Amino acid sequence: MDSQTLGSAVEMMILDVAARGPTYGYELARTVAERSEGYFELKEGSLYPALHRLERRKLLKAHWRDADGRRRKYYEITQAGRAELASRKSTWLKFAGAVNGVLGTRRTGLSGA
Amino acid sequence: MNPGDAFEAGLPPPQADEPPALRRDIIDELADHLECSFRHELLRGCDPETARARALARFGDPAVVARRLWFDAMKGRIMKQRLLIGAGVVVVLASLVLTGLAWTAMARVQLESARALAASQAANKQMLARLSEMAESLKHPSSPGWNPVKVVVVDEQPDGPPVEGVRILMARSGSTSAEQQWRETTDSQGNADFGLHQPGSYNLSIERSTPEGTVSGFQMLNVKAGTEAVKRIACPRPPRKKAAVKVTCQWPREFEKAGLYLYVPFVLSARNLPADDGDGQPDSWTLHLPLPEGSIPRRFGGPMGPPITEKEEFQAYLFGTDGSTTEFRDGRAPFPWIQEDTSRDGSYLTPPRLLADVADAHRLPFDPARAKWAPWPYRVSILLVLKPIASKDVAPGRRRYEVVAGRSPAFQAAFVPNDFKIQAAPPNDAQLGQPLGLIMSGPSNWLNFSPIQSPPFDTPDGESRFVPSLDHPNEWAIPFPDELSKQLREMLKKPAEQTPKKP
Repeated sequence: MDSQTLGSAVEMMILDVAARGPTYGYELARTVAERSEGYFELKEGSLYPALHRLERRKLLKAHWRDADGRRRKYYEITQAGRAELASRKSTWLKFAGAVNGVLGTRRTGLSGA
Repeated sequence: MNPGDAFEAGLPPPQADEPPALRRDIIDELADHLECSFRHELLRGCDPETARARALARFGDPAVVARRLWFDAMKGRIMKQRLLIGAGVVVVLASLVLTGLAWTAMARVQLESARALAASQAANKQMLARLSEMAESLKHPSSPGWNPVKVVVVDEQPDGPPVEGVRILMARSGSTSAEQQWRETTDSQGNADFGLHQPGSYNLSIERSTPEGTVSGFQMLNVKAGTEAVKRIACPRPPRKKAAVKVTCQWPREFEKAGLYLYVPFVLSARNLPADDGDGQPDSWTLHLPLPEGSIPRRFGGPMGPPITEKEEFQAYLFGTDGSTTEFRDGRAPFPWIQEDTSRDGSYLTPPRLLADVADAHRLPFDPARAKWAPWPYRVSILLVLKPIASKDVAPGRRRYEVVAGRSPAFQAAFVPNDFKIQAAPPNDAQLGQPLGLIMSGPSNWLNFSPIQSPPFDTPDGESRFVPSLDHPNEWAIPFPDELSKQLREMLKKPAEQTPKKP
């Protein structure tokens, strides 16, 4: 997969995980790896540029908390982030559905939600 | 491991216009990640050296990541510097060209000089007019440099009545300096006047306390140059009354004779109210209920954070396959602990077992009269399946269980249960009597441990949240996730465990 598509997919996955509740970098990396069943075993450090980029774009907001005597930065999705996520998910599902249709591998149950 | 050094090695020398907290924030965030990863590897049975190597291999080059984050944050400033330098070069070249033209055409230069003089006089006149405007603006309360900031707190709704006595801490975003923090309390009109402040972004920590409890929240405030910043906040009140709640859970029939118990804690969750500040985001509020008398509250996130409590922070139940329902007195949880067989260097020789020693005195048969919850959102924080086991070294008055399976709801961390930190020996009653600090922090032998390495579950209604109402009976049936059934089927197929060794 080319880097631009991968980068966009990573941002979408970050927003989706953050949409389910406040999260932090390590937890996010593990969740992505786990929920993708190992397909997205990215270098964990590579998530942070994407996280900070989303924060600068105000799609995520961040705050610091104390954890085990360390500072931990938590991220939460903003309303703008939710709108962006919904838009990207819709585009992705339509794209995947169209490709599957051409390849003859269309699956039932795909929705635009 | 000293991850801070690895990250700092990748950062350029400090720049004059670099935000003061940038470097520290990058290092702290990435160091926390590596520490979590390192501990995870330890729990998987690695020795410390292997754990470090694996954590670094999964993370990537720390110096490269830190440098990338620094450059991304500083990109705007660096580009601006380059543009200024470029503009300076252009100005110099333009000046040289103009001088050459003037030398060869003296008459034209004289004419041009006369014209330039007239233009300069006009510019001076404009500058004088602008200076007069600025002098006028200094008389106005809102000057470009210092701007009045006020917070107004109202009750529950954006058009609610003012609330007196709400404590607000305002801090400059990105700064941890005490000099960039200001505290005010709202007056009878709900106003908290913070005086004059420079433009920029600020964090607000809001705390509203009544005898019934404390509600706290965090918000952002953007102060724009030349304007008065007024932030209106609708803050909910800690509930005065509690609602009767009945919780049930139906075990799948296939496990009815298995002799197991499902532990279900319900944690106070955030309550979202519509915001009236134009950013479109709801305001999120957290409720903290009072500690028992004489307890010392700990504060979440440090000395300036909202108070956290152990009592009534959550309700907890134990649902047996025998149909029994047990409530945990005062919400005390069965604190899990690891039974480990460690070598002298602290590594794990055998996979640890997760046990829980539950005091009989903390368990009570369910009594509807006692089951009163605050009318506030609660969520299921985790599901743990406990299996009673026989043990000779359990303390009198306690029963020992092994944690054999568990799940975490969709909105909770799939990997690490945030509600538990596990210690390496059974807790005693003195420790259980302490506030929630026992859970939030502890000595170095506390570990973040998750015995549950499976995807989160989704309830049929999409969320494991419950909001008790004062207006009608409240009954919540906990759905038993299919994935948990699957885990249990696998577990029950395994041969019976041997008697555990002494810790």
